Amino acid sequence: MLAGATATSSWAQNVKITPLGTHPGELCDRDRATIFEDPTGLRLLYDPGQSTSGVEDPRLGEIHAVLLSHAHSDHIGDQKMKAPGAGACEKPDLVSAGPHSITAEIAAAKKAALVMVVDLAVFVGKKVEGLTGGPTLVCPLAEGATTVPVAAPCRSNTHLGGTQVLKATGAPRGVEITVVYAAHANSLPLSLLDEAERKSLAANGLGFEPGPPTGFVVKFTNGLTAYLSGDTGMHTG
Amino acid sequence: MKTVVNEFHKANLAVLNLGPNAMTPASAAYSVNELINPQPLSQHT
Repeated sequence: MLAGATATSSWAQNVKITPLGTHPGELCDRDRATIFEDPTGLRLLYDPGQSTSGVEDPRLGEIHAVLLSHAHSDHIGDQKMKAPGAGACEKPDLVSAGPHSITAEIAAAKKAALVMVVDLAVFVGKKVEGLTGGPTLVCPLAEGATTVPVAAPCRSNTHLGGTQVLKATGAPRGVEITVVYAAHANSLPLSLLDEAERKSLAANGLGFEPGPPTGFVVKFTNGLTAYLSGDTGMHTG
Repeated sequence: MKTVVNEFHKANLAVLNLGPNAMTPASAAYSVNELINPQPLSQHT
């Protein structure tokens, strides 16, 4: 992961960025998950991945929304840490997070909004339903924004180019999350599919892609605009 | 990257993937410096 920024140093209200890696203080092979906390208290988890130990991981805290760039295993989280810090930085000890995925487990446990391209949101929403027993509906909007925390996990209805606005309760304005293009792939881990579908696809050497891969542009309430690329090659879009 | 992220959204911060399968160090550097080119933040009141 690479971060580049140009910023002044005198912001009264900063966005707090917390990477959730497998081994504190190091940049490790499985590190993807990052928390962005807006000055209004709204907390976004970007690409949950495989570097947490699950919903009980104390680093997660309150999560209002989960952003998922694409369905590859190291982003959706088909596995999770066996225990905090288990294994080596270059090869952490992981255990299965199937059949739901870490993304779905966290969204269900934290009652979070799923913000991602709609095809993927519907898939993850179904996994959340398997955990909560209730429907994962489109997030309620009032004056163009969803106020968080939401009463139950919900999903965005965003296609490429679409924007979901999330607003912390009582905040004067919201965080704008736009789904943007990524030059990559979006195939699901077969371990998250039903057995019959998994066998059929595997027998033919095929995968399944729930919509396109994406990145995000997140405009925070203090004006900071962050580009979260997901996985992408260089492109001119 | 240039049209959407830089020119339209005027991003201040970029978090990119890096690795041999999609984004090499050279292409990442070009992407940040020439395409994304994070903009300075203007002061809020």
